Order: sequence, then C-alpha cells, then structure tokens
Amino acid sequence: MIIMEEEVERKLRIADGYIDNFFRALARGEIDKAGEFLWAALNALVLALALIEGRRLPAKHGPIRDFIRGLSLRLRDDAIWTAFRNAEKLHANFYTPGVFEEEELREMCDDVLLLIKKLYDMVKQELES
Amino acid sequence: MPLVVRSPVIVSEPPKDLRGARYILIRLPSRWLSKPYGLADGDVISGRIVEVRYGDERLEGLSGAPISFVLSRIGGIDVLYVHEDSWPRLRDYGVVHEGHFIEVELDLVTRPSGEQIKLYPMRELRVEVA
Repeated sequence: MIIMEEEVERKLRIADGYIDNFFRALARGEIDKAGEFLWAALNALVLALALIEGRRLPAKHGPIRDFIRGLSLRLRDDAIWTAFRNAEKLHANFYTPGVFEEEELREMCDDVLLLIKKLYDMVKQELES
Repeated sequence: MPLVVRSPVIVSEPPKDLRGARYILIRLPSRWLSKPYGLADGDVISGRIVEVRYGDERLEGLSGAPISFVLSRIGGIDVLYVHEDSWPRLRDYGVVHEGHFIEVELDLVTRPSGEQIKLYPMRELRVEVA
C-alpha cells in the first residue's frame, strides 16, 4: 500500500511539472506546446488514478482512453469524455499544427484544465480516504 | 510583511463555480501560499500591485493599486484568478493578454466564511515565477 502511494505521489509530482510547463508555455504564447503539456499531465493523472484502483496501466494511448471512457460512464459525467477528446485534439495538434485556430485551442486547453483539476481532486480524495 | 509574487500574466478561463474569478491569472507553487496556510478553492487573496510591465514598458498608474485574486488549486500549483473587483482597472490598462509581468504584495486572505488570515506578518517572502 505504501509503495502504491509513493508511486501515485510520484505521478502527481510529474503531473505538477507538466502543469507548470503548460502555464510557462501559455505565458510565452506557445499554445501548441502548452496543449501537449496538458496531454502529458492528463496521462500522468490517469496512471495515478488507475494505480489507486489497483491497475497498472501501460503508458499508451489506448488503455488511457479506455480508462477515461470507463470513468466517464461510471460517474455519468459526459464532460470527462468531452474534455478527453479535446485533449486528444491538443495532442494531435502538437504534431500537426495549423488545423485549429488559436482561440479553439485556448478553449480546448481551458476544458482540459478543468478535467485535470477534477482528476487531481479524485486522486487526493482517494489518498485521504 | 507580505508575500511578494512576480509572475507572468496568463489568459485562461476559471472554473465556472469559482465565484468572482475573471480570466486573467498568475500562479505560484502551493508551498508558498495554500499549503502553509491551509487555503482552499474560493479563498480571496488580497494586497497591492507593485508594478506591471509589458516588455520595457512600466504601466504607470497601476503601482500601489489594490488587487485581489480568487484561489484555485491545481495539484501543487496555486492559480490566482483576478477577482472581479480588480478586473476593471487591469482591463482599462490593457492587461488582457499574455506578455505582461505583474508583481504584487499579498498580505490578506479572506475565506468564504468571512475569516481573515494575515500572510507572513513577521517576514517578507518573495517568489518569482517564470
């Protein structure tokens, strides 16, 4: 149990680093990079949440997507799934920039940041219970 | 003896349930603010503007003005959204996009319950955020 908690804490610190990089990139107007940092933070948080549920997910797109889809269905919270889809668009945009306009990307970032906050709160709640 | 924070200004929508928050924010590691004082989302952090800069330009007229923020915690990061009471002044000076740097002295927390907490009354702390 202690080992799991340490691993979860490690994932949270990794996510913190990505979130800080997200804000740094946004401050510099580097929206493409900012979106990719959000994607990375989201991945780290999903891996942390899965660990709490006793699952060690491979750090791959498919399993993370499946986990989020399951979470969204379980909690009957469509916003989780919608935000994840936006995170996927941000991830794709990093490798193929120019598809979305800046304002669209900013709206996606705002949406994904809300999901990230929600996931942090879930992890924290689980660790405290 | 306040907490002095220098941070770039960032544009991002606050969570909808964060009362009084507008879409301009600064941030700092939570070890400087919410963690030592046990603060939570929705707490209002107040103080004064030391200065606002845009490149080499110092925005005259903002220094010394009161400013408040609404706290939102994201992991180990404290995000401070400009409070609606402070927003008109910043807006009128054009602090509505990235590229600005703001330095603020924060000395008071007002919790939704009305409880007030003085920040670092015995010593000044400085945080610089990239």
